[in-house]
Amino acid sequence: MKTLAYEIQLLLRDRAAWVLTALFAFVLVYALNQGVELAERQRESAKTVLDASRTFDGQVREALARQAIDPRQLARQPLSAVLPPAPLPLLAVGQADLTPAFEAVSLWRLQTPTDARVEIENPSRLLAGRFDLAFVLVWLFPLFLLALAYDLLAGDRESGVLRMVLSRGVSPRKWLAIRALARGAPILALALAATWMSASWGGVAADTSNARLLYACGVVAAYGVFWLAIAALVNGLARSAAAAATAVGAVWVTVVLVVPTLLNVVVESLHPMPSRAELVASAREASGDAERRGNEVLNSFYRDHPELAPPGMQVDFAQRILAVQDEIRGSMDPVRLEFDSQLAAQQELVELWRFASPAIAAHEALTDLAGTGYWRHRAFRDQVEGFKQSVYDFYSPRIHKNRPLTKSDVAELPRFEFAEEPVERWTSRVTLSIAGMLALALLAALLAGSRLSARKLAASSS
Amino acid sequence: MLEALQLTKRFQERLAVDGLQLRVAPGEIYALLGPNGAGKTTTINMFLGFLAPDGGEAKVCGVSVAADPVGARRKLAYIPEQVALYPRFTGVENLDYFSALGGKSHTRAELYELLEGAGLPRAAAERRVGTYSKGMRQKVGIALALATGAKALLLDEPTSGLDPAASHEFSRLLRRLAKDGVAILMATHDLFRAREDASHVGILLGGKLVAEFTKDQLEGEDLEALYLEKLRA
Repeated sequence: MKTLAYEIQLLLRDRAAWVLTALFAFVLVYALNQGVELAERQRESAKTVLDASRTFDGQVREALARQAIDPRQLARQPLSAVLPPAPLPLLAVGQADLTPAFEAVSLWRLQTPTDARVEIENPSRLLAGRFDLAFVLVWLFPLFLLALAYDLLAGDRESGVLRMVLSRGVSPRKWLAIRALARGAPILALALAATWMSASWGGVAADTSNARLLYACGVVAAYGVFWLAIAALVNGLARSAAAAATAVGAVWVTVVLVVPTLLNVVVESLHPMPSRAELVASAREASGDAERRGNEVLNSFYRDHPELAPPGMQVDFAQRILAVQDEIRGSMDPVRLEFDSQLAAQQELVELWRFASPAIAAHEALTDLAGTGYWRHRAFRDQVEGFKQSVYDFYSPRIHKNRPLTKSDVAELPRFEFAEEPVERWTSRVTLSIAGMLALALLAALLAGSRLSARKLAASSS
Repeated sequence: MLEALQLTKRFQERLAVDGLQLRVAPGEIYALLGPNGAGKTTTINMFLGFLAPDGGEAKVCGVSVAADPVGARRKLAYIPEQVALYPRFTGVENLDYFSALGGKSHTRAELYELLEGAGLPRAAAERRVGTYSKGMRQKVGIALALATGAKALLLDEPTSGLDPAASHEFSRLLRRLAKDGVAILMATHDLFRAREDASHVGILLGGKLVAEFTKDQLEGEDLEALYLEKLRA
């Protein structure tokens, strides 16, 4: 304990350590503040859409209680599918431009991809990315940690203090572990505090937020331990403080920049995504083609679904549209499936290779926990597809059969309620990420340990 | 007690220490003389367990350094030519820190007493080591030897670069330690201090111990002449 206390004291007397710690605290507060603004905007958008949706739903129920309504009238109004605010929005704001949290589902345009962006962003801002807590934790946190811990013993080796230390009969591994803990403590503590504050500052949005927060702290701690183990490994090898600084810098660039970029390139090359423009263009083409062949499509539809044919085959505009929609779905399904399967394949590859760089593992885990990552949005998109189907299943037979909606239909009116992923799914993903990072940290620590015998260290000391 | 039993160290083709047989009993000061590259520091490094011998054995108070390097180190203190300390700590903090590393704990009063015993007044002990002279650092090194209650002391060129007064003061402290029963092995070029302080003097040449004298044998002899004669032989 006394050694640890002195190590902390040594750090406290280093002016650079104070400056770095203060700078990191400022960066964290700034990131949290940025997150507050963005999360608030997202929450407002979701609330606005949800309120409008609930008001409309209430009006429909009231109207149906009084009189029967033609389903065409209701089907004209788009229904809202809203992804509720993320459980920990401040942890990782997410990319609303790529993962919209709202979709207007209209019976007349069920098969047309919609541009449901609720946020309009400056392209240069999109290019730079979000300055949110996840960015700071994944990219900058290791830099600050390494700035304090890069010289765990290289400087002592140069000055000769290391020989004095080793002559005291202390275990070099234990001594280095204590020193790494002391050097990493201020930055690690700030990172953990900011992670914890992301809930209180941003508001807890789900029942699982506290559990998610604990896991997030686990991710941050495991990521920090990995970088401290890297610092220990580098110090076991480097003969001078300058060499150690260069080496930890090179490892940071490799782990945080090079490997994720390479993985991105590999993922894009192996599973290229069809362009969204292509998706929209093919939808338009399919729609135009189906509309041109209107009567043919309609006859074909009723041949396939004779049970839906209206009495006397008196067909109106709405029935024609529904038949056309069905035809478009047939043409669009392969394109959409390819889009989804490529996206899933990409994510699968990222999941598989995330441990090639703990930065990827940490980022995936943090966005997963925040509820702004791939998995929650994937669940939202899947549920929106299901919702579209239920809208179609509800209205289609009633419109084809010209059956008005009555009070008895109220209970069956389609309504979108997002069901969160079961807890065990995200916990197993995140636990694996934490375990993977700790395993890599252990590997680095074992390698460092093999370099940390008193004999080897003394041989390389002045 | 410090013992070298046929201690041998080879660096590639060169024999740095060649079958060194040496014994420093409690209360003795053994001065190991020799030119640069004679194997003095290599011998000290083998006693510290920083170098593995290629043959023979080094023992500290009966503990084999090869078998139990940490246990052996806990029984000795080491003062290099430059006592490297943490410049941001004061003298007393450095003493406390290095004592704690060796598993020893002292009260502040004890630490000041130890430093004063080593010739470092309280006012100096409260100053940061960054402002210390070499002699003051050596005193902290001596205080550390006192603080750990080491039974053996290894010194590598301890008086090199010290002014005569500081060197004299240092010798006085060494003699005091020896009187307390500490076995002291000192690698040095300082023939004057060796003659004055050592109970035994050994001359190391090309890794071999070519001559050994007791203080009595040196009585009335010119150590410098003896040393140069051995070097020329």
